Amino acid sequence: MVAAAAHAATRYVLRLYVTGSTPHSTRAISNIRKICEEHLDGRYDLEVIDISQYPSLAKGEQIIAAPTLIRKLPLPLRRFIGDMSQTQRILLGLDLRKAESSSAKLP
Amino acid sequence: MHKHLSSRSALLDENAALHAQLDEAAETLRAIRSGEVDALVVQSSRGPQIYTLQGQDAETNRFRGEMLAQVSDAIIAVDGDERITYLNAAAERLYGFDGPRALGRTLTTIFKSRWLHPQDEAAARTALQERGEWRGENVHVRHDGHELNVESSITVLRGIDGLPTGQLAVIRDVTERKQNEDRVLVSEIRYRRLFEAAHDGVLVLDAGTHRIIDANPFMTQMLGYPRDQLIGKELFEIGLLRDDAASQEMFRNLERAEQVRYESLPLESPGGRHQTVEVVANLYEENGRPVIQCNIRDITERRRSEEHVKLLMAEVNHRAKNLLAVVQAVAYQTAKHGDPATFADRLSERIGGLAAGQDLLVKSEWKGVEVCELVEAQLAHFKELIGRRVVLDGPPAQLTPQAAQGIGMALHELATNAVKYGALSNGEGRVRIVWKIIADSTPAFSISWLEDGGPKVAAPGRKGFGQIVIGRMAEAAVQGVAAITYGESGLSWNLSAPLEDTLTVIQVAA
Amino acid sequence: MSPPTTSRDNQKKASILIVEDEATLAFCLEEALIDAGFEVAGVAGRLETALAMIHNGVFDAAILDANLAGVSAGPAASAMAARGLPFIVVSGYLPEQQQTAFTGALCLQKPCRPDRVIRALRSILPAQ
Repeated sequence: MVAAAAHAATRYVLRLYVTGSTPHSTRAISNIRKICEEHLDGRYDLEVIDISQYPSLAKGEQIIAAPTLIRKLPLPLRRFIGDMSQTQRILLGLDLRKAESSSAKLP
Repeated sequence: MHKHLSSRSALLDENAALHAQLDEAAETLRAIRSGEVDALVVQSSRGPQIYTLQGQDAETNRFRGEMLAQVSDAIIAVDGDERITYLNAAAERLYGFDGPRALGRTLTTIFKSRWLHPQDEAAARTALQERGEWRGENVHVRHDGHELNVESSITVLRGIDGLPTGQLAVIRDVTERKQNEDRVLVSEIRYRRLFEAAHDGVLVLDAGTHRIIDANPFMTQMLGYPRDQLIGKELFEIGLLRDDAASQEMFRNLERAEQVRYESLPLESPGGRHQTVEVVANLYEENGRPVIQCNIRDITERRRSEEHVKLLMAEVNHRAKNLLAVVQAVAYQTAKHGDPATFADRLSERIGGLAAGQDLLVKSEWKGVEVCELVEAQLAHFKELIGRRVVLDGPPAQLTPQAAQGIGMALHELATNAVKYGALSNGEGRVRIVWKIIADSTPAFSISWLEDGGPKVAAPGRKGFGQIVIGRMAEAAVQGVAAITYGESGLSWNLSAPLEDTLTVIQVAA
Repeated sequence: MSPPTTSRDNQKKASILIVEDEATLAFCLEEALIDAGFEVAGVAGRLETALAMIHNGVFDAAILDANLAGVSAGPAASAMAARGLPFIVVSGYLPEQQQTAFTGALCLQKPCRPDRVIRALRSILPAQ
């Protein structure tokens, strides 16, 4: 519960690397936006970066595939690959659903 | 111990981080293997290289992206939840929303649709469901409230399985065009109204063929042709210009001067109505095509009243000159027949008499003068005697201008004579002025000047101008007969004349 | 109309018709003509009288007032021309306001001194 309270105040800075309007990229954009709106309402910055137009932007973050989501804040840095459709895994990875999800996933 | 503990916890953290990185690497590999990524990024000496994994290389992909970025129409793709999955640079500009902020958000975040007609929304939905596309106009209200008139073309996007995956919209901002259209429409309505309601005829001609291409209602009214019979005709064919040569000349002049004006042209309508018109022709360009606009004003009435004024001026001139001629003649006669010592007095008295008659004629607009008024005017010097020693007796009767002049001059001479030598020269003499209309086979007018109680009078030895005025001249003025008697009790004068030469027509009828 | 009278010196006097509606002017003209050695064939103050006199009278020339009690003396001028008799026109109208019936005739502007009328009349009569 203490952790959950801390989460409520934490600001998330997310960066999604995509390659134009390719299928997984477009899905990833929609999915992550939906997750943010539902779970991080008003306390997130999501930046979508199209590396097909600006490949050099893929340099700093050691991106090796697209779509890739990087959680820059809160630390530690986390990285997710794919179309972000596995909502439970993403939530878990973002530390947004520790208790419930683990209990739900692991009977 | 403490140090050991802290280094141990640091080691544990480091270990956890390494595990995490390993997990990430494993996850990356798994994702790539299971086909969850679109592209791989390979760091090279030239910078990161993108390799897409669906048969298209990064170059092709970038080329497409750049192409879409260049087009001026806004392009937006959404998924099945109406979340934005793509928008080009034009869309970012149009909606004032940059790509990273917009992507993944629902369409309503950047604009809301307003439909021009209530049924449009349902129609668009039906079209997308049934045909997979819709094209039409509506209004997009941006997140900042700014309204855009747009023309959209929306296509349903489908996956390989044929199921809808989203929509692609190509949006063109037509706000400015719409505003221009509105302005043009307002202007069209306004000037159309002027054209339709004008009380001048308006014709529009093709400058190339010289034929009529438009005519306003007033023009058809002026000419008496229905509009469709005017269209296609040349000006000389509708009677506006004399002939083809006159028409050719007008067009030559127009090319030189851009405006040609005809102060007065005769215009005959097919009904035979004669009109005088003023024509102003102007050469204009209409979308690069030269046209001629002719404004045709019916000046028949204006011309008629100008003619009338001219006639009146001539009439006034004639009358003034005539009066001067009479004054001149009176002066000659006064000098010739009178005493040079009294010439100036006599002449000014006579001119006074003429002026009094003139005043009455002007007052009645030269229609005629009432006998009673004429007598009073000529006896104005002894106004106080009228009704006592001077008695007027007669019915209403209006004298013609000529009769008024002749009788007026005679009355003037009689009055002057009466004051000097007759009934008005002493304290008790009387004058009766009697006029009547004699209903006979030839109706006549008769007027008498009857003196009584004055000194005994006798016929003068030498005929002065006064005698001529009350005799021959009075007779000539009314085609009548004058009789003068110098009796014991005073002078008697009578003038009888045919009614038609004396009184105005109205008076005869009455 | 009486036949033309002859003067004492056996020279035939020219006989003139006066067409003038203004009695004063007609009288003045008559006096002036007689004083100048003319004979007055008659005085007409109305158009009908004037036309009757022109048709039936015996005279050598006429003096026409352009306007007779509001009626144009044009027909009188035409009748004179038809008989081949000379005439002068005395008028209050300006030359440009003059009616076409008088075109070509010698026109005098009113007011006009009697001696001018006499001179004009002599100029249109055949030399004795």
